[in-house]
Amino acid sequence: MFAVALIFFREVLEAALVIGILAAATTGLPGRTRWILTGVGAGLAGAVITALFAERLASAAEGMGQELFNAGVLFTAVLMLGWHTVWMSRHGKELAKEAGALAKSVAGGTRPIYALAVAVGLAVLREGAEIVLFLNGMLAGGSTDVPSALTGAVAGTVVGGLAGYAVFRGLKLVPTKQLFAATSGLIALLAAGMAARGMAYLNQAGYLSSLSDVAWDSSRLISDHSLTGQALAALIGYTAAPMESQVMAYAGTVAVLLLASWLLGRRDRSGAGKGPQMALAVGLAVGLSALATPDAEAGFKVYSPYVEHGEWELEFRGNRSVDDDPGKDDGRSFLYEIGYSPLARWHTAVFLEAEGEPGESNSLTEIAWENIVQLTEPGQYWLDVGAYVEYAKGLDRDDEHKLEWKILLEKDFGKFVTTVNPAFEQAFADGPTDGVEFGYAWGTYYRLMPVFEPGFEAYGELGEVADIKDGDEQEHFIGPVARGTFLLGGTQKLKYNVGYLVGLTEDAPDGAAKFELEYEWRF
Amino acid sequence: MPVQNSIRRLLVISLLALPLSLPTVAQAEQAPIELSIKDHRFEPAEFKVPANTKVKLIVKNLDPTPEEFESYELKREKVIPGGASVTLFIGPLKPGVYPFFGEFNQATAQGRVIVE
Repeated sequence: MFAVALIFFREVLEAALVIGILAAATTGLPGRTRWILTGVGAGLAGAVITALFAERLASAAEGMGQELFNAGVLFTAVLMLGWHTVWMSRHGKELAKEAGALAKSVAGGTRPIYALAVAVGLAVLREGAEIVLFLNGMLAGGSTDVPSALTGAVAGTVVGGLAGYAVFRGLKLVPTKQLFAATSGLIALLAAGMAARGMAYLNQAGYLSSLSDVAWDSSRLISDHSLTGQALAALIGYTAAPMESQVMAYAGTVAVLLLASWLLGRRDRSGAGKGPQMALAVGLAVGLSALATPDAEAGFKVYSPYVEHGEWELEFRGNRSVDDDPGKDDGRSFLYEIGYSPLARWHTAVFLEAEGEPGESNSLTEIAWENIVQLTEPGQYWLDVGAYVEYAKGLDRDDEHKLEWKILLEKDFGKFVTTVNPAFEQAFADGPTDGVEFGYAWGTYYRLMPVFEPGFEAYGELGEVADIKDGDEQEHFIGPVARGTFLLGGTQKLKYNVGYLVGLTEDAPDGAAKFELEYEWRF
Repeated sequence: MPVQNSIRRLLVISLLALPLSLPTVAQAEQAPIELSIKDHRFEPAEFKVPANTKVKLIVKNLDPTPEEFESYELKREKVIPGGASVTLFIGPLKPGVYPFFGEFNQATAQGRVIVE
């Protein structure tokens, strides 16, 4: 009974969320209730028809009919939701100001309202069809019987419906400007979740098997089968172990919707764009993580000695090694960080590092706390100086921890900026393991424009200070990079840094592709 | 061997400390320029500085809310709490016009530095 309730809860919640979000975002639009209810009715009718034809669909296309049908339904819904999001970003601001007057002036908006009905109809159809399929399977397989299934169905529908209505009401209480921003963001994520689900169905139907490797597995954190997991699945399309194609579809949908809103919508800095753009940062980060593959190697990041008081940041970075030797190729490491600058000259952050050795899957290896202190006023002295201190604790091996400290130096020469970080590291495992190790990071960039600064970076590890390694045993990299900052509106920024580093020594891998993505904001 | 390693360590450390011991660049000293922020506007919104000179800016925020002095061209970003005063250094700059703005109130807080 609980399983049936859970299925109904999840499916009804998903449908209710789609309906609730679209209804909230179109408050004040005349006829929207009528169109939405039309969509619900059509969807329910379609679900019943689907149920009646379920067997015929399954036997078509060698037993892959259902999957292709579901994938088709999902991708159509993504397109419809996408159209709605873009339309909303274009007209959302006017709606917020004069709902009544605008409602008349969007006579030309009949098409978008029609899209609402289609999106709602398809959502209800899919959920309904899934419920039918699940029920069929459970009843036929004997894991439930009709009476308990009915109880579960009612319970699940009621709770799912209430939850969806709560979101609807909750959204209604938010000021309309933020409402459109928030709903656009949620819709982008809903659409992205649907695109990811579509990929799963395509995969079941036998397509895109080259992208079917699992990108990561977070079931230890939030399992697909837990209530939290089910709720997140409905809200943002959470899957604990997504395939690469799913991650790319998710990130791609978010990126495309955001790009479309940004290009076709109104760019205003009142913060109305916050929702979609946050979803972009999340989506990009999520998408890149599927493509990221690093060497089990410290991060390739050059730090500047500056702190921005009051700023929050989310950072995601990683790298992947490239080498002819399969024992050195496809080593991955990436890092998830959140930071804040509580003082004008102090920045603090916590991050998690995950690594995948060549041939192995990714696992969380380290949790760390880093601090940056700005020591000089920029431009006051010949060099700008800062200090970096980090304490890290190993997660997969016992008792391993390390202390890392760096000197952050930066200097401008006209439009060229050079940043150097001499770095020291001391590892511990019940007492110091080896001596203090020395390395460096170097970056020179040309300040062409805020969104694009080309340059090069170099990194190296020389071994212990007391016993520097021979040349070939040291690791040195150098290569071109591009970095930049996108202004997202308000005080939000999205910074990126991508590059390819060539390994210079015998011990270093032939190359490493690296990327950094950082989202900054203030409250 | 141990002596050589100690010398090497000393050398590394002193090389790293060297930049800090260098005196600040001797340039023709320029009187500090005072800027204030009032009603989310810079006053003066435009001012001149000589080329190739390091200049000290004292920015006083007369508004109760914080502002951030920011400029891509000048490569500076600094938060000025409401009612507070901060010091910034710009230059040496080549001749030209360098815009700056208040990041929290971009609609009104705009300014330019004219370097001649």
